[in-house]
Amino acid sequence: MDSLSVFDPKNLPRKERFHSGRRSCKGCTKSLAARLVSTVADSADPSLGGINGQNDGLSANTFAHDLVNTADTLEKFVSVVKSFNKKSASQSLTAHSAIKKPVIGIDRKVLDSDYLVLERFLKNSNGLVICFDNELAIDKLIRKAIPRPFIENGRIQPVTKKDVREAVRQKNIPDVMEKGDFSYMATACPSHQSDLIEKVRRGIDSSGNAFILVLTPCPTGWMFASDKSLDMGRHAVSTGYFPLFEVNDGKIRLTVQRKDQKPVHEYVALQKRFLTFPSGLVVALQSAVDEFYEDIQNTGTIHEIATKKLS
Amino acid sequence: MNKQDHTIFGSVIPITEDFNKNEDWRFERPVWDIQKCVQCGICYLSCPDGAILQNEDGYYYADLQYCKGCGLCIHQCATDCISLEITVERAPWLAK
Repeated sequence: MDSLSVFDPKNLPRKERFHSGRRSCKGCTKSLAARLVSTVADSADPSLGGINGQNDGLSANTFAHDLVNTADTLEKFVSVVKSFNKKSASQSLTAHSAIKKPVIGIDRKVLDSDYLVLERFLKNSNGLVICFDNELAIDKLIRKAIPRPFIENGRIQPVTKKDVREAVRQKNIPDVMEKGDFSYMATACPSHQSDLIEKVRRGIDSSGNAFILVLTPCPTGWMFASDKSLDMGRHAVSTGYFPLFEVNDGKIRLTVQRKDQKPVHEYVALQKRFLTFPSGLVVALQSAVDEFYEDIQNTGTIHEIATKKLS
Repeated sequence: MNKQDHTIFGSVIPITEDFNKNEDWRFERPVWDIQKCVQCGICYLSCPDGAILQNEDGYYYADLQYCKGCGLCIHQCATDCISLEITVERAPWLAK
């Protein structure tokens, strides 16, 4: 966020577009991020329409869906936007009923597995993709690092430092950011609400497709108290574990600098999912995080970071 | 909340039909101390369920139909004006 801009939560619109319900657990930051995005997207332009947060599928007048969990829903959304745009063009409807910038909230798991459907969506419409990431790459690493029975020792390869470095890189820069044709890319976290809101506004104002990766700490999956989910995001940013940056015209810029750098083991100790993670790998995680943060600070483009060979 | 009492095998089980409301998830409810509140709106921003509303005087309050009692607003409040009031006694194994 620019140092001169002033953020006041009182200026945000009070109209809620997000439908609360039993889809999310207590203290879910994924639903908080979806709620903030819906509030901003709704206020940016009345022609954007609303966010459909109901479980009963997509209706004909849906403009945005807050969370896509399966490839089927994504495909449905793509076809709805496409048909609506065709309809508005053929029937010469008013400007308010045409979809200018559809906003889509998608789970990282779906994004990694079914990129082709999203590619179709990006080709047909000029949209903003919000990706909710609750660290699948790190979860896989933790699962891999669980001590195995003696019999399996020879069969399963142990986790190396290279694996940790790859996981950190993969977590912070998904393949889509490198492959996709985006005019604006950013990372955000609901713990830094003003930064998230500013980035969503920039994504909506950008000329082409935009992509925002949002870290969403999960109290149930990561095993911590529900009232600490925003603290977890703050820790992730202040340790450099999840740097907040934006990519405008290929150039990377850190939006939130880590001033008093905290060690990563403080962040790790807060979550019970790391209980089985060996302490030796926590040291490797710290060095991987530091290396990635330096790359972000010193390297000019995202392509260079993504294609950097790990020894 | 839209609840109906269904009698199954002699015992009464409350069945919730409205799944958009979270009233029965909650053990505590947030209460605002108006004398301490500076109406900054941080609690409103940090609520994952959009359950915090503003009254005519500008003070905030929780919509108890949607509040899950997660306690995020209490953790974020700078003036410590929000506190949790116990509404349902937790079982000993669920106590914090």
